[in-house]
Amino acid sequence: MAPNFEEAPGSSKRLKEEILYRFHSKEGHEFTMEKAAAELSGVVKQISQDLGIDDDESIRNMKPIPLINVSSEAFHYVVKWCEQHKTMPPWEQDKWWLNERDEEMKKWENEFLGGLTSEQLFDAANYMDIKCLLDKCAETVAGMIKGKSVEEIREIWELENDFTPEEEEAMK
Amino acid sequence: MDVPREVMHHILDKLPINDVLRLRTVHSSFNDYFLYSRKTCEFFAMTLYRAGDQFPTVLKFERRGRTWDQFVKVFGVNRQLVVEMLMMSSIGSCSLDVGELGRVATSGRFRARIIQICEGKIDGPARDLIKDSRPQIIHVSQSIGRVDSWVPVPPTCEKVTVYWAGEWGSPVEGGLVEDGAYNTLIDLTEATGLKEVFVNHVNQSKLTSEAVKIILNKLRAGTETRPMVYELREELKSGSSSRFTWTYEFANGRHYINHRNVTFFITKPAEST
Repeated sequence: MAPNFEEAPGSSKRLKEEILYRFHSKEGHEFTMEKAAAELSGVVKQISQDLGIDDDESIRNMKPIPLINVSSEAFHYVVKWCEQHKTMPPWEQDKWWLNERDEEMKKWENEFLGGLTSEQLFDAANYMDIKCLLDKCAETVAGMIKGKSVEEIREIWELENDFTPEEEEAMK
Repeated sequence: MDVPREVMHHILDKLPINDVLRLRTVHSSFNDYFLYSRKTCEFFAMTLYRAGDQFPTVLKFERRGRTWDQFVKVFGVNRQLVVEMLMMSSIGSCSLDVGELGRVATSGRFRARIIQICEGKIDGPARDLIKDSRPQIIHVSQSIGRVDSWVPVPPTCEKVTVYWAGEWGSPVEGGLVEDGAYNTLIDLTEATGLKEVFVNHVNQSKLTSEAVKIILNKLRAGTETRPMVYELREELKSGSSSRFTWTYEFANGRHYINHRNVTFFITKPAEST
């Protein structure tokens, strides 16, 4: 079932008192995201820094950030993810052991991603530079092909074998 | 399922190396992606490291009886990519391509890049990276695809490889690059606090021997009071068994520079000696 964007946690109907970043999705829908959640995105942080946005009032007055590569549907899930992770410690790129989640969070993440077709979300996480989501998406997709044969992977990813017999022989 | 191409390397980093290598045979488009994954880089670097016993170099790999062509066939990669992978790897003997960093800064050609680095005193990200990673190998080159541009660097030593090739052969450009090369050497030494500096010079031009002379003279002028030992090792292009090593006492003023391929070692003993 398609999400109801009007009622989404990131919709523009949210309370005015919150410190909210505003976004425009690819389709032109306007969304909002709470400050701590939005700042999980490297892009948001970079844009704020570039624009000299360093206080809550400036955030309120900011124009919506255009996310030209992020669909409304994907953004809906991005908001959900970020809201859930906004209190987590900053993601450590090279120190994976610092990014361990508790069991409850792991369960939430697995359930969250389990039912999704994740390409769009993956792309969105990459575009918005949300490292914790990117990592989880990668883990999920990797889990789909881990230990699988070449033929099985082609089937999963709907790929044709584009090698010539000679090339295949050379790779053996 | 449509695989998001931009994020492929993230996926690969989550897979065991066997799965990563298998992916290469799934679809031709995966080659580019898998080659740039951190895990693959480490795998290749480790492969080369093991192949060369203690020296993570292509040169040593060849000495073990496998040629570049065999290597390329086995792994389906080209030289440039292997070198890049080595550079990207996080294995102990971390290396850094100053040229690449220079490109980011200047978007210029090799000549422009090396001069930029020299004049800029290895500024900005390059300097920070050198300080943070303390690489054992630093490449200042865009001709790194050449096998003979690789030379062994003992992993226990902190050394820098500075490699020049090609364009300093031009009479017009030569002077600039010679100055640049010397400055680079000094900058690298200062930036890293290295005790030893290792210079690899592959001659690709008729004027290179003269250029090496100039550098030797400049080094002598700057370091006369310190005991220095120079080793010159000749790497002949044809016939890998024809290799020679000399120890060169700088104070004697002798030059071994008139060969097509010259690997030129400069070893500066610790200050206490």
